[in-house]
Amino acid sequence: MSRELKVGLLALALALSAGCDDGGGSATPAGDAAIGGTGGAGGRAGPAGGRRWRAGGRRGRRGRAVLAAARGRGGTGGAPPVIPESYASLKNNLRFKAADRLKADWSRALGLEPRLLCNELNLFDCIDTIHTVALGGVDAYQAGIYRPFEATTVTAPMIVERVALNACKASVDRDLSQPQQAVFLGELRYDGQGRLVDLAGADVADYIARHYRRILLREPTDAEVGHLRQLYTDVAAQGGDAPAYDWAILMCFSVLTSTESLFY
Amino acid sequence: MIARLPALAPWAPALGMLALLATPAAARPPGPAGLCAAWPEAAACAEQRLSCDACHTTPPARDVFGQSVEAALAPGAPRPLSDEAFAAALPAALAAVADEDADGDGHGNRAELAAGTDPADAGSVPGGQGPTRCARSTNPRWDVCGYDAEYAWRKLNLDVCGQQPDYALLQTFRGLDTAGQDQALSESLVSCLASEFWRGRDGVLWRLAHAKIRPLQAIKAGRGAGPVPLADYDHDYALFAYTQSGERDARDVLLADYHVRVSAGAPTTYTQVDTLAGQQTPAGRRNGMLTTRWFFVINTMFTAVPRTTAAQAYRAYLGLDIAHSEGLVAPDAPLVDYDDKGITAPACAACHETLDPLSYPFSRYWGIAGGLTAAYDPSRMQRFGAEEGARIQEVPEAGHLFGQPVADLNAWARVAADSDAFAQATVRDYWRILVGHDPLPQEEDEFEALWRAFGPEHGYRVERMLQALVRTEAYGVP
Repeated sequence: MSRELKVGLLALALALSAGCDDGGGSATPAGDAAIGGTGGAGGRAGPAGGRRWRAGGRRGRRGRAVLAAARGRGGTGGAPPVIPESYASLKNNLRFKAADRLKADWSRALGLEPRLLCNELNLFDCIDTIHTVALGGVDAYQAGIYRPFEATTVTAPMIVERVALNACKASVDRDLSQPQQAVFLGELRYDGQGRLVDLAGADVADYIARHYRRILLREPTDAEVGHLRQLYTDVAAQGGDAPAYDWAILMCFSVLTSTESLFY
Repeated sequence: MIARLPALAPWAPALGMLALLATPAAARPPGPAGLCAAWPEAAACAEQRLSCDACHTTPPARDVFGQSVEAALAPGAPRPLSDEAFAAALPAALAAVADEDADGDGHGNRAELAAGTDPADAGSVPGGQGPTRCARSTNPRWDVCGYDAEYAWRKLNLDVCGQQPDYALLQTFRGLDTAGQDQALSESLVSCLASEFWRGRDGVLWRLAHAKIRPLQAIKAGRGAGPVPLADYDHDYALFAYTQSGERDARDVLLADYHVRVSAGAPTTYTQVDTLAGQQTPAGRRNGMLTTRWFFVINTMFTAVPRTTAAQAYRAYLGLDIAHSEGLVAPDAPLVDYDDKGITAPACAACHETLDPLSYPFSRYWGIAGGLTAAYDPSRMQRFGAEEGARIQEVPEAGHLFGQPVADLNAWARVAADSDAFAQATVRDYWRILVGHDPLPQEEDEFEALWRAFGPEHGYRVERMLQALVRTEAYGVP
């Protein structure tokens, strides 16, 4: 991968990541400590609630607009985060996970079978069949491409987004339709209108933290939790039918497409 | 035409098109050989890997070092220079630019080549690249100044297992002392090397084998056969994966007198067998990947003197690409043009002095030849007529590898498997997978230590070599 393209892909992933640790986002709401008090009507919805959660339309397009808006309000105004010099690696050997590792690692992180991550037309595996080469894989048997391209293809960022969005939707749908097998849902509370009961609640923080632990293998910082709470506010402001559902997908998406997730 | 050749199938004429795809090694001017003669201490010369890249970007375009040499090369003489004039003028030109600094990085051209760095790249300098100071980070996530066991462990899981460990396991790892973490590193590697991601069908080992096997589904036989089923390359993938796993001697990739059967579904299993359908070479003439049916079908095809076959073996298993003027070692024997291809012309001989003697031991194995396909036949050359070359029947079975005489392909394979080039090429393959790039100048010491230990210390076992590789600074320092 050429340095220029690696940096380009890295910058895109950074830009997509609403949860960047730049210290300039909104602070963790003070209400965090008071969360446990809410309950009752806001308790976890059953299957009906799940269907209600999924009632929103044109979520993907709206979600991207919200992500863009959230970036615009970021403390750094879209500029890349400043990394203290003492943090720099002399090796600078950051590597894109590429097709096979992305598939295996996202499958593990989301608790989904690899075949469920993304399928074009519900028929063809996005990573193994359709976009393999663009994601840094090979097509030895048919096309004679024995080694991955050294440079990331121009479409790779779009494909990463596409796969991540599909995978996150599949993950959220699985959690809702099969609560007994839910990976992330925990005690997250949402109401009959598809809204989170208490954005400042511990259940929301826990829901975010579960994603960080499974995808990035660490706890989120307060700033990151704050960013992702703000993301919900922005999503809800769009007026969809199921803001909690939309937010859950986009929150997962933002963590899954972060630099930290895509590179190693 | 081939005399007394068994009748070919009706689709044989179509296969003639495939023969056109065979890429004979093209002759190159004697630049690399001349440079190595003048500056034998150049690191790439010692490894027989100096190529056109020393002076050229994409030949004939030159990089800045090549431009310096060009300017000092027989100034005033009309261009283009003949190969003879080029070779005669090269020593003086190199002497003129030896102490110059083509890329302006503060290091002379000759010193850079001796150190294994690129005299045309200011970012490639002896002793390392970029900043040399190391400030210990206050970021608790990484130790960018030393071997970071957690970083190496997480990376190892991704590289070899395809996925990171889970959060709880990471917490456990963090709780271990240094010895415990080292033990965990070893155990994770052992576990991951048994994973489907690493050794299974289309896993890392299969992907590593792609460029060596060069599959083509259109002529595949067996599972998932193509429209013209000539050979089953699954046999080759299975043999390769088998030799690279299970604590087996990796030299079996060139020496195995057995075949390997692969299961159809997951989990992938490999079974050593004495015979496989379609594999005709008798056990005494088998040499691992060099004598499979697929190898001869895709490389030898219909050619009498199997130069492409030898060149692919040299490239795939010894890391030496004659098309890039690598590994040119002319034996102390006259070059004979058995098939009237004009190879003794000086411009051609530069490569063919190495390539042709390299090819002769492969000449007794048929390529695509109906019922004889991939069979060993001591009389093969006698079956070709004079239209293949006036002296075609005189092609010997004996040849040369690294300038050393070899009686036949068995001897060729033995010399190859025991060579430094094989150790370098094998270790380099895995270095690329785990580290992500060819060894950088500042990583050369670790790389050399690794390949030199591959035989004596690691017994040619890939698993043991990888245990050492994941403990290198190149792998474990973020």
